[in-house]
Amino acid sequence: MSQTQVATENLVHVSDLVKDYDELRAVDGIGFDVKRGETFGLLGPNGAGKTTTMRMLAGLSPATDGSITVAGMDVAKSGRDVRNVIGVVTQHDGLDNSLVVHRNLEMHGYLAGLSYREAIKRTKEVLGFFNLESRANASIHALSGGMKRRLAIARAMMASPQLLVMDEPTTGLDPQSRNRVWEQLGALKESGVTIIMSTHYMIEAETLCDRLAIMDHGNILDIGEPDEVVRHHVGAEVAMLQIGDSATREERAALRRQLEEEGRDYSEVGPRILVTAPRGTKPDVSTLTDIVEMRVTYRPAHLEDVFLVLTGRELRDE
Amino acid sequence: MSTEVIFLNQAQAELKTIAGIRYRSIAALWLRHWFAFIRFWKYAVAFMFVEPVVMMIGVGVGIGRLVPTVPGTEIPYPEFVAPGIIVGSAMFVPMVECSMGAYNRMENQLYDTQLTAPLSVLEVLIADISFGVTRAFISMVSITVIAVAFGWINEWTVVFVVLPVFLVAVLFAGVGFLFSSTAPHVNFVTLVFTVVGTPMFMFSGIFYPFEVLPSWAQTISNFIPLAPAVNLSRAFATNTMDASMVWDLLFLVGMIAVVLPLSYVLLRRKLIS
Repeated sequence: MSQTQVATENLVHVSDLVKDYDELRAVDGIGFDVKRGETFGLLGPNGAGKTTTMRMLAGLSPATDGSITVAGMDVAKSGRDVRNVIGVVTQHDGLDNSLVVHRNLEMHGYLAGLSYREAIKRTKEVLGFFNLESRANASIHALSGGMKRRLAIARAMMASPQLLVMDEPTTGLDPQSRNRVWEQLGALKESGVTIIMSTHYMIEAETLCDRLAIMDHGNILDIGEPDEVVRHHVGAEVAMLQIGDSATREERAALRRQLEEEGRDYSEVGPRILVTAPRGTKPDVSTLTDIVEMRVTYRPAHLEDVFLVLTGRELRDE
Repeated sequence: MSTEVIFLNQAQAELKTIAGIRYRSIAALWLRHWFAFIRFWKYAVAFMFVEPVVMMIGVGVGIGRLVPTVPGTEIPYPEFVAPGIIVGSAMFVPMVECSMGAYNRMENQLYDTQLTAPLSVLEVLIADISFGVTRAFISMVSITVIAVAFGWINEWTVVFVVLPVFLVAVLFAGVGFLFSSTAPHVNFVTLVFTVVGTPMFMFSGIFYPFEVLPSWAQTISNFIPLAPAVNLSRAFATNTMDASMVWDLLFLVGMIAVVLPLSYVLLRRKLIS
């Protein structure tokens, strides 16, 4: 199935999903659908509930409440059958250090239900697709971070799953390796594989996701196509106010007061103030420029602005 | 070849199960362990074979010179010790596999990855224990061959030692999982050797008959989990079987019936949260 033939049928349906760990509510009643052939992203800061959601999707963690269906099957009741149609890439590669590269794939394929002969044949195909054939006999320790990640994705694709679930597929990779992974995920997406991925790289979400949900504190704050989410929350352009070094503390405070009084959407990033115009085109900052000496520049709004607006700027525990 | 052909043309595998247990899962995990084992076979052989053989020769030849026969009997000391070493090794080998080995697999998120395939925690448990039993069998054969070569085992009935070795391997593989599933850190796992392995090895009658102990200690010793296996192994290796062996067998089976369900519950709690 090519991307242009993407079906409208829902492959995944998540409804009122809750996960409690003792006193902590990690996921608080979220719901979303993923269509067949779609790439769906879960974005959020550390501790937002992304990994917990991914683990529940993969059947590695039972939900406290709510339901997940994949290809019409309830994950809680038919976990084994569901895992027969899902390929999972966990946050840590989970590669088998005791086995060489090709055995990692063969063993997973055999475990997933391929015959041993099929698993060997399929390993060759998958190694070729992920450009790892020259490392087939290598030890896992001898692989770079990018290669290990590609191998983990290759392993998840061994049994040709209908759905690929990936938890932070490129975290910790250098830009070159990340681009390589994106290219290959792009090719999988083009071939019609349905993908659910969590990430906290905005550029990754913008590059790969057809739709995304922004999560924080176990809730979904917004859901939609990346462009639509950006337009809705921060408008088309962002005004960056670079305040002069000579500005006094009082002048800065007066600027903040003015922003509050005008009910502006803004966030402070280092010495800059970003002013956004939700659902608008370009924020008008003419009422602000007289308060303090500043340089105003405009740039296109992107997902990172939305992320900061919705999830705030406080640091999260790793 | 297009990606479409590679990724979307595969038929879904049929799942064949018996009583809810998918034997493909067990076969695949066992095979995984086998490949990992033969990749590092030199180290595994050192642990499974060289160590118990060195111990057996050291004790048999060294102490055997000091104590030619077991006091009160005509049995040469090496003949007394060899059957016990066989089950002692059958305890240690799977216990290492399912304590340190399993703990490492947990720490490396290997079980997490395996469980993304359509298999269950019960199948993981059965597969890992099965491989522990396999390693115990390899160890048993190696030590027995050496003991026979030295003339320390002379009875054909030694072939029945496979029964206590199997039961011991299953039991102590399960014990290994009790530790790996509850360990907050790797130092805790090493307790399985300090608290279980070494005391079992020293006090279950491998190196001396219980008759040399005070009567109260004899009573306690009979309830040491490895002791019935040592009795069974010695009876088979020396062709001195009697009806009391039924109790030894039942004792071992009873302990397995307690330990394995507990291992399953703890492993499930550890892996699925």
